Amino acid sequence: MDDKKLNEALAFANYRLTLQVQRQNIEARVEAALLVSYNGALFKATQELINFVALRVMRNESVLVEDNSTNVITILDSTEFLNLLLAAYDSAMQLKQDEQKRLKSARSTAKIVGL
Amino acid sequence: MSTRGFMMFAYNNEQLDYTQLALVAAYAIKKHMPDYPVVLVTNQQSLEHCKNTHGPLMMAAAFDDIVLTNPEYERNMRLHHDGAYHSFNAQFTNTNKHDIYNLSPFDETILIDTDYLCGNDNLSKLFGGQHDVAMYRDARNLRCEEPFTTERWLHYAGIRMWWSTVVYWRKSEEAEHFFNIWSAVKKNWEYYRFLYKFPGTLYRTDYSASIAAHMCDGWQDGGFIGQIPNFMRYQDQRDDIVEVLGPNHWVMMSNLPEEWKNMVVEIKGEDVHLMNKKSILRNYDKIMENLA
Repeated sequence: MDDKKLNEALAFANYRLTLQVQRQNIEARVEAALLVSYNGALFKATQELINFVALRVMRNESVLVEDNSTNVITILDSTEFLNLLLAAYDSAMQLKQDEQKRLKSARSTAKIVGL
Repeated sequence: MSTRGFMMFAYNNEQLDYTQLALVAAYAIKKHMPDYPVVLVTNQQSLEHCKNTHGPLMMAAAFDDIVLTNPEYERNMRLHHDGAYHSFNAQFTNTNKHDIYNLSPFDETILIDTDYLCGNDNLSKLFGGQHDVAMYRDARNLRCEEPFTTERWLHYAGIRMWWSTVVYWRKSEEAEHFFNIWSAVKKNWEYYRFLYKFPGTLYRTDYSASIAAHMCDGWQDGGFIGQIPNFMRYQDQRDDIVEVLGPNHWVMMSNLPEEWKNMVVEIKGEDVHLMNKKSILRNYDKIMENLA
């Protein structure tokens, strides 16, 4: 293999590494965007939590949930809490989708990092 | 309603203008969490330098109050790197960090290092939380990798490290105990260094805060300290800033000893601990332009 071909292959390897790190960094941003602060506690807006709270709201029952530090928190206004969870979840997924679309069309290392 | 705000220490040395770094960090807080006051703790000499260099208007926009202290000089030389190809030694004045408990005018305080730049409002979610003290336990570099073992454990068979880069606390008996033990660890550093078996002679507040957390928790890891969610993103001292694209949008160079492994990374919408302080100072105008 001549130097030119090797250089191209190594540049491609660098592109793949940059792409993978960028994917992980997007995941980190999504994790941060999923955080919800309510009643002095922090929660992650997961599909599981959203469904659990929605079920309790539907059945008009009181809601006790564990926060990120496993403290049990009484949710005083479960509809408001559900709305907060949904808003955080939706914005995090929107962020992820936008970034994934951008990455799909980024065909160079510079494009991946927004240069 | 309890009072809440941010604080930071800045003592200049011959190599690094910490007050200039504090201006950047304060502007970043004001950009993303405009409702919270920022208080600077510094000494007379650094304050005068900041006033003369940046002017009172800029300082007033950054700091809601300034607390003057004069910590006793203790030699604490630290090796800094400025990117992959330059290093220098500088005095590191961090020996009175635990005094912040008594210096803070707030009921709830978040102490941040001057090289920690907020990129969103997530830290404000700590206010009114379930813990009296909270810090970061986990960190990731620009490549999303965990730091070296010495940045995660004090000793391979010892205790986990808490990062003192960001410390939240609520004025309370529990928090007071924590800072009192931190102070005792500082005073008896040689003894605790031997007891907890960590290497080096540099006084590290990460280590003293970790020991205080461990002791306060009854010599165990039982949840006394609240964990700031997710992880602390950091730019290593060997890394550099390539481009400032926005108030929380960076393209950085992640460098390794093997040059061929260097790579560019985009960081967006996150808080970042920029350990290469000179990279902040080099890009000061561009960063401030975006934060103003």
